Amino acid sequence: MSKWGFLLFLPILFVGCISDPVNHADLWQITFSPLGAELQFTENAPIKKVSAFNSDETMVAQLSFPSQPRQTESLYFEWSEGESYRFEAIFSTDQVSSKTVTSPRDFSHGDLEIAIPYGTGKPRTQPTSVEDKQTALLLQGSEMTVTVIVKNGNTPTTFNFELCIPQTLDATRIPEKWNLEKREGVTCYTVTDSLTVSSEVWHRDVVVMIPELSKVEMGKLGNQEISGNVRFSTEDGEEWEQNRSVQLRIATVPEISEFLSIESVKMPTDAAGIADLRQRENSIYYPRPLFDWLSTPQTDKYTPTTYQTVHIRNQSNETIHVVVTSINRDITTGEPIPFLAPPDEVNAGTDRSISFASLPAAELTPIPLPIYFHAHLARAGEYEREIAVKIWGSDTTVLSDKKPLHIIVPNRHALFVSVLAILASSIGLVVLLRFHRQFFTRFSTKQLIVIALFGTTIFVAVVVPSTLFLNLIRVLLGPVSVLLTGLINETLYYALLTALLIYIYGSPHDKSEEDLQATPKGGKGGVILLVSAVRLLLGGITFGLFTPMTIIYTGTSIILLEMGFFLVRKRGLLFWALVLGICDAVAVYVDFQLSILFYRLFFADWYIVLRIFIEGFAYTFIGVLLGAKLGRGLWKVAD
Amino acid sequence: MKLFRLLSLILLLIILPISIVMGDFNVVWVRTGIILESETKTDFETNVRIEVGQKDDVLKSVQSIRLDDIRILLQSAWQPGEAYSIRVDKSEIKATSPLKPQPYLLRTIELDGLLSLLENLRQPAKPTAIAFSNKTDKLKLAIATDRGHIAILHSETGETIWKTRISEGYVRQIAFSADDSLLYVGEQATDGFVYCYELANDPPNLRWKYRTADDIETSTPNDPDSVYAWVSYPGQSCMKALPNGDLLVSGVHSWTKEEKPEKRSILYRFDSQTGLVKWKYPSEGPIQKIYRWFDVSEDGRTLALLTDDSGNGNGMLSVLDVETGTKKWSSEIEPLTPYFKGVTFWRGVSMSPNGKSINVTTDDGRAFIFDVDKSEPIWKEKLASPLEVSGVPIIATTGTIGSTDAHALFVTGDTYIPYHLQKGAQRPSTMHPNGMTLFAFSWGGEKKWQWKLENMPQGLRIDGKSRYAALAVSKRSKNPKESLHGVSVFDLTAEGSGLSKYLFTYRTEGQLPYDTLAISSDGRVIAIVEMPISLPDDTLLGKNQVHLLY
Repeated sequence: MSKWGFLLFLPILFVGCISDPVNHADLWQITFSPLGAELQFTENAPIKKVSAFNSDETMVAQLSFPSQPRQTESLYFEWSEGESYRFEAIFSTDQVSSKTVTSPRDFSHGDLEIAIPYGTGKPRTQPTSVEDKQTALLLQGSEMTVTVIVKNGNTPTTFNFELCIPQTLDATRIPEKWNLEKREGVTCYTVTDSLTVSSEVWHRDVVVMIPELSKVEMGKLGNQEISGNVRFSTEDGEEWEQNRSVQLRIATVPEISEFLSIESVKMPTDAAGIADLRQRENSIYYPRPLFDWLSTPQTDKYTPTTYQTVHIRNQSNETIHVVVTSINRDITTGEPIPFLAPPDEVNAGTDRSISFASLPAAELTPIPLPIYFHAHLARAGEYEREIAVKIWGSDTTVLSDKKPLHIIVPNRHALFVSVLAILASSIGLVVLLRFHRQFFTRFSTKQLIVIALFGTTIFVAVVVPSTLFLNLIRVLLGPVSVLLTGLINETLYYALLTALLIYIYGSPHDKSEEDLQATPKGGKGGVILLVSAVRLLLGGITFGLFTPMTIIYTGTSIILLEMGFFLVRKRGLLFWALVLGICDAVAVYVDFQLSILFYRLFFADWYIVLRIFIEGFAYTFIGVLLGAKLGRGLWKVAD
Repeated sequence: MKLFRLLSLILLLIILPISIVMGDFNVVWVRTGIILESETKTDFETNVRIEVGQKDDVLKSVQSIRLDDIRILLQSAWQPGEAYSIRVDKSEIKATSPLKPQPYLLRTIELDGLLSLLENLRQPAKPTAIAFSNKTDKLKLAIATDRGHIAILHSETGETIWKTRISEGYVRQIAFSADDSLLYVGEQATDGFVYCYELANDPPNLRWKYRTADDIETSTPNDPDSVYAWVSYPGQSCMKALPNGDLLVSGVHSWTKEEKPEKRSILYRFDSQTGLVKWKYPSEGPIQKIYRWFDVSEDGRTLALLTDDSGNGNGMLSVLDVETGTKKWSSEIEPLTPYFKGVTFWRGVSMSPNGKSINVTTDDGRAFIFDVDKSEPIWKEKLASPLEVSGVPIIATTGTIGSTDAHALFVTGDTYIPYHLQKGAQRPSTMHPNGMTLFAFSWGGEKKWQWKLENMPQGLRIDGKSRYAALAVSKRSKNPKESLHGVSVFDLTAEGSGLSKYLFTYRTEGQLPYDTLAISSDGRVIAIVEMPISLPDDTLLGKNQVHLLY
């Protein structure tokens, strides 16, 4: 083959390399609608303009898309029946695709929709008069609303509408001027009305009562359906009709409840239903004006302050449409709480948060419900969220649940206690610093050495093990770990402290006036302060426990114990144990309030009671009694 | 052979210049004429003679406006579906007009640079108000933002005439005086100033300003950094210039003081020359309610004012004599029980240009028509009032309203129930049957036509001749690519149904903020503001820009 002969193959090769051309006609479809044509596009169809021309090649409508068209677009124009229209699409590549479609000769210029309940009716996809069946779920023993909607085409019409309901159902509310006619097995209602302008919508509601039926009656029920027919007629004598029917499935509340269940109700969540684990469950934290800096207040009453998310499982094999509502009530009176109700403009005065959901078959569906909060009316306290699930269209509640709602404001009590503790500690510290020389002259060197020795012993025996092993014990025993750690922190500590006090001041039972004279400068106290100071300093230097909280707690504890001891110093051991126990219980209580204020912690009531009465009082009481024996021995040795 | 070559060369020399002269034209049939688009710049450079005529008729010379080098607007009325001949100098074009006019983008004007929208990247400024001048020969467009920027542009050329920044405040209202010599600006900010700029000077100078906070008090929002902070400042709910240049302003302040809601409202008439208050309503000082909106007759003599108490108690329509600022009559509208404890309005009042009739809508879906001389409504209808299903009221918003001498226009919006479903969950379609619809009633209450809108209404404007209505439709849906944003235009004088009145919907990629559209007084030009939509993958659809349309 010569080189020129080879060149003959080049065009063939070139053609072979060209990719398959896109069939532009497949990217869009056209159907006529009462107001023009509906254009169905495939996803991402690269079309930038569509024009429609009549048989005279006059442009009747045009639509330009700034970006890709939606899947369904409408071209609005008045078309004539049986006329051919050419539709021209211009693609982003400037290629042109044309289609010629003849408009239908027999076209119904109106529509009928029966929705049980409203909102679940299926829009007609094709503008033909072919009957399109749908189904509806009805609950026995409840009322359901049937909404009928007649839509006009593009000419003024009068219409005769007929709605037939099986005699199994009772129509409890029908619109005025509807005529009743009983036929075999059905009750039919008819009405004549007019639609004066094109596209006008006529809608009416019929409320039907679904009676309670026995299994036998249910078994005898045949095909149950609600059907509608509308006959339109124009002044020109044109007539057409539309039929619709809805197949009914009648069920009992227990039957539906069997399929539906509220799996959980989480709060607080975001609008997408994701729980905020950092926040306290079932609570709204509301900083009072004094505490505004703690959180940004809600400034827009239309913006929910938080959400709760109801997780509903549908175990049936069909989609169930539901309405989920939540109302916040006062626990005692049961009245709705105004400051927790959505604004009227949002919920039209129902005081409820509402969400509609279609629960797909065999799925768990999260349904977030907004919670509004009007701060200027708010009161702290315990409230209740009442969640109800209704089948959409029915007033019967098929599922319900109640959950608490805590409205929390910063704890004023904690504030007052903490301020008092801070003031007392600060004043005590200032006085000590101011008079520290006079204070130390009250003790002999020997006594100071013994106090330091005891302070160190307490540090080694109490602080070190509790610091090293406390977290481990908490991990193993959880909140009840205080029962174990309290034996060291409280019982051992107070045993050693009591021994020291007896050594310095003498045994509570055996003291004479002379003994009392021998105590430091007439027994004016200060031993507990010195021991606590040694303990605090060693703990701070060794373990870094020198925090403002520790200082305030230690200061408060010293003041309480010194005051308590001052009162009962001359009394018997039982008084010592009782008063020191009470003082320590108060110190534990102050510790709680400091944590609540500074760390915004929340404690269970039982935990607070446990620590105050067991750890604070009982263990201290035991510790003092145990320490007395050791102290007497020391005192005798010293003597 | 040589002869053939020679003839070919001669033919080529003849055909080539003809083909250049007869450059391709694209013909666009717009509402106010015919646009010719040329592929070459040379076509419209000189005083080219342009003639237009129907088929077989004698061509007649027409006035034209040169839009730029390659576009020209022929100011020639055309009949739908007719064959036309258009002669441009020596070229002749034959074209058939469509049945309806087409939208035509005159130009877009980018706003990011013009108004420094991205000055604060964390909270970019947003366009809040837009207005056309009243004279149409040199049509000007004013646009303002929520950060106090203002710009005045030439509509035809897009050229910036003046731009400034009046304050850090939210520009709530903007309006030209009737003769376009003044620009009024109302800000919602700490002082709630009303500014009057004299446009005759270059650059424009401030003629006067008035501090409304002196009457309706000022306040500090709980969270000044919040995007809603401006709501708590004193501002102007409505502002309209009168034919003699004077200005009507409703000053409104709604805030929270010591945890209690506070409200103050007062209506002013300002002298255009001095800025002095000619009257206040009430004359004794502000009332503790909200003046939501007002409208004035074309002659500027009668005013209809809506007042409510933020959802408590009755709403009120008051009719005032604009000359004296005195009340002619008022009518109380009771709440729609049991769903509402009070009446609220949005922009729910409009007065026919001839001042004879008033149409009103309440937020609960009711519509009313009043005769200007009677305090009882002559017609009322529950246009989009609650449809109760399972005890749940389904309502449609009804705050957008307009009027001509022939018709009362009511626009209903989206369904009025909160939807807080998780992304991807299906929900029943619960649109109110009369939601998102434009209704036209005669002033006697007879329904004349209606049109189903393609998305949520974002503002309605009617031109000074009551011929064209522009209705912005836009709302971001769960799937931004399935949302429609744009402006639908209607010819209110067309005979027939809503389909006959509907002309077209001009689409934009981004969304349209509420009430940022304008139509020139002759109806020729429409301006809409587009803002970008951020998609989940952080890409943006659309731009910050103004679209100017024919």
